[in-house]
Amino acid sequence: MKVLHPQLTFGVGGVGWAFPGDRPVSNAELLARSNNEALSPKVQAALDIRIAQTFGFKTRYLAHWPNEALRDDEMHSEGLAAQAVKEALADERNVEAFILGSTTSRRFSGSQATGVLGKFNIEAPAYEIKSGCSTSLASLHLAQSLMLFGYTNVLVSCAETMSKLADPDVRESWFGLADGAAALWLNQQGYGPRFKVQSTVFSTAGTLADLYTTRADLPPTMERVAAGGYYLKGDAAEMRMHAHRYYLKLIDAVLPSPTSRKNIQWIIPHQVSRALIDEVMVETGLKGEVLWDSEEVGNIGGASVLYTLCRAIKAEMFRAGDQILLMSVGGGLSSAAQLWTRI
Amino acid sequence: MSLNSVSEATMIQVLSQITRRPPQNISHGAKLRSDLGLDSMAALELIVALEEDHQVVISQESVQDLKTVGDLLKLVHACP
Repeated sequence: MKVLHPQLTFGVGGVGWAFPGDRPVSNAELLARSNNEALSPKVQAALDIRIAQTFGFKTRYLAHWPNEALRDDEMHSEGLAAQAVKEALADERNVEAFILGSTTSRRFSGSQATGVLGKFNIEAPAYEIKSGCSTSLASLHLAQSLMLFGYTNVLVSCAETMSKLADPDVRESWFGLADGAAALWLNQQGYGPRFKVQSTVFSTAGTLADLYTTRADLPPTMERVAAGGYYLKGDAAEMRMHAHRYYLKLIDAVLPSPTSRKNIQWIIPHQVSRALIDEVMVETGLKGEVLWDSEEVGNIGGASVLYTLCRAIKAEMFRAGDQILLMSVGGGLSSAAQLWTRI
Repeated sequence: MSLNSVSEATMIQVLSQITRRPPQNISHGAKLRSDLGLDSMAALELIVALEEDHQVVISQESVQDLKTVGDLLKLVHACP
């Protein structure tokens, strides 16, 4: 796990995000889809609250209802990314490089990064990143590398349609997996609030590639689809155990001293289990306020960290001198962390 | 009804609603997971239904260890 200290400064010239549909979907609405009308209204109302307490999700945005067949007119990750990019760029079209992170690409052999740029008539290098729930940070890691390489601005977007990976027969998966996208325009041309990347680390453990993922090969066949090969599956307990282990490794790597951990004002983790993050913070002595959006937007996979970062920047939450720790562990297995300072 | 007097017939009715299986197909010895398909979500529905409609409070952890309908009844009858 090699930690880099780029000391790279940049401005955030624009942020954006997008969700499918016109409103969030509640637990009660999802429950109603599971044909539980035999339960009394009192029980259904109590379940709505209990699911939020148990799984940590109250609402989410969905491109796809988990118990229905996929449709061609459903929103896909490329479309969501394009919406987020439109908001982040506003009228700007001077994009020198683009990175699109997504684990749920709409295209088999094609590039959705190119597809997104095409919607804005922008010609530039377009990269795709797929690194589980560390996709946001892997994308930022590459974006910063490109800036050090000489590009003066890089656009990053991460987009997911995780709802399409929910197994209709495993109702528990309906409540967490959700859809959304975010976009962040990094530049060294003086636009927007400025940050310095103090440290960045990104790594993978390929021996755990099959731990929590979709199992079937591409291209899909009737047999692979029928066997549920494109639903997200795995050993949740083992995944949690490895996630815990890697979060400790990340924090040891990026913030080796107790003092450095106490100086953190903000933490933006990948958001699937708040209990896990709270546990890691206690064990490492990490202080700071955790920014957590998944109660409202669900687990949007590789877009999770980027969305919360964008939201916090737009809300002007960070003050000069604030230190921000971004961190994620994802199935695959991928792990990443960055330490930013608002300047 | 006392706090822990959920009868076998009532329990079967609750399980029937949650698992959408006919009551006559649910026996005392039926296995909760393999016979009735009681997954983690259905277990949560069961816990909430027992709390809200029958005032019986059981934990999610205790339900995870149960194997049969009979085990579930024993647990419920042992509740204060």
